[in-house]
Order: sequence, then C-alpha cells, then structure tokens
Amino acid sequence: MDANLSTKQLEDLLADILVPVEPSVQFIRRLRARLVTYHGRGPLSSWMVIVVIATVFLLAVTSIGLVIRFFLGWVSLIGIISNRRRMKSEVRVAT
Amino acid sequence: MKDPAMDEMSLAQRAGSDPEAFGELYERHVRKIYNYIYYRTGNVHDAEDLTEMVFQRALRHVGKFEDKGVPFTAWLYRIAHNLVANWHRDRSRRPVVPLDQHAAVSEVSAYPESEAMALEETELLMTIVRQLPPDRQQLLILKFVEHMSNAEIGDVMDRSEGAVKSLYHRTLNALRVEAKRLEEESSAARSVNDEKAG
Repeated sequence: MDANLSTKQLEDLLADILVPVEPSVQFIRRLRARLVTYHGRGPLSSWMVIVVIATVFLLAVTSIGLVIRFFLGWVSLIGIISNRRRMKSEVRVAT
Repeated sequence: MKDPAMDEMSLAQRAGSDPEAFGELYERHVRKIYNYIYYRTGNVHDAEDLTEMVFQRALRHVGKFEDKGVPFTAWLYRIAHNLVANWHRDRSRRPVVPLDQHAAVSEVSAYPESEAMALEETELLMTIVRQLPPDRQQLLILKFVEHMSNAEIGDVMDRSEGAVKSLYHRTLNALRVEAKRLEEESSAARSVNDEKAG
C-alpha cells in the first residue's frame, strides 16, 4: 500500500473495503422469533402487578374467613359437648 | 407525508408495550447494527451473538427510552458500542481474529498476481483500521458502511459535527502514518532477506 496516498485515494480504498455485509436470513428470522419469546417473559406491567396483589389479598381474606369459620365451629362443638356433659352430671346429682 | 424521524420516535415510544412496534424497529435497524458489530469484531459468530444481545437489551429498556433529540438509531448504536467494548475487554487476553471473511476472493481470476496484491493491500488496510482506537473505528464504519453524514455520526457518537470532521481527518492521517510505518518495516525486512540470499 502506498503510504503517500492522497485523501481521495485513501477514502476510495476505505470505501472498497468497508462495504455493507448482509446477515443471513436465518439469523434475522431466528433472532426475531427469540425476541418475541423474550418479550413474552418480560417484566410484569403495572396493571398485572395490581391484579396479582388483589388476587393474593382476596385469597388471603377468603382463607382467613374460612379459618375463622372452622375455629368458631370447633369452639361451638366443644361448647355443646361440654354443655351436654354438664347437664348429664347435674341430672345424676339430682337423682 | 410522514416525517420518518417522528415516525421512528413514535414507534420507539410504543415499542415498550407494543411488540409490533418493536418488530418494525428491529426490521429497520438489525442490518445496520449487525454491520457495525461485524466490522468491530471481525467475525460472523460474534457479530450474531452481540447483535442478539443488543436487541435483547433494547427490548428490556425501550420502555424507558425518552425523546431527548437523539434518534433511536443513535441509542441502539450506543448499546452496540458498549457491548462491543465489553467484548473486546473480555477478549483482550486472547489472540485477534483476522477480518478476512468478506475479502475472500472465490472466483478464479485472469490476473491472479494483481488480485493477490490487491487482496494483500486490502488486508493490510483492514489490519490498520482494526488497530485504531474504538471511536475512530466507529467513525469509519458509520461513514463508509452506513454512509452517514457527519451530523448523524455526531448524534451517534455524542459529538459535534465539527468534532466528527476533525476526528475524521486525524483518523485518515493516523492511517497514513501507520501505513508508512508498516511499509518501512516490510522494506527493511525485504532488504535483510535479500542480504541473506546474496
């Protein structure tokens, strides 16, 4: 390569070697498909976060209600049983 | 008629939530980004891997993209530039892969000697280009591969048009100096060989 090239000659040489290259069609398609998949598992949008929090809250409230119902049912059952026992012992003492 | 820059900006603003908009931006820019990375890395495989990383990163952050007067293309080039810089840093201890794939001559020529000389010259110039600092390589790629104007290059490189022009002339001078040095080295080596042969 001539080291005393003019600017124009050097630019012509650069234009000859720095030419656009075309990526393979398969690569373009494959990357597009991957980006679609990647987009699908992207970070949650704000409304999705609100929906998730609301659902968790509703489930928590429902399950707490259920637990309280079971607890009250159990307490009342124990109350009924102990009441019957007390009534029986009172009848026995009276006779 | 729609202004392409405005169109591009509105696509970029919708791209965070609209896959179609991002797909359109991808189709418009994937080849440019690939070309840029190809010339900076020198091989197809790394160009493909890094292009993929650029668009994944763009997809992750496009929702935060704001119109600050910088075109979307410039934003993509900056992502690519940073990733290529990381790639070079990671590979700094490994040998450099020669950029010769695009210059390979496959057809049989009627003038093999002159073609061989031309190829040698091309390889030499490409080697010199690859030894330039990253910003100068970027400038040459944007100017010759993408045919961008100095103002557009300035947007991408975050420099004024005048600074780009000045950097371009310094780059051409650096190429000449390096070519002269290599020519002197090769002529010195030739004369040593001739002495040994004689």
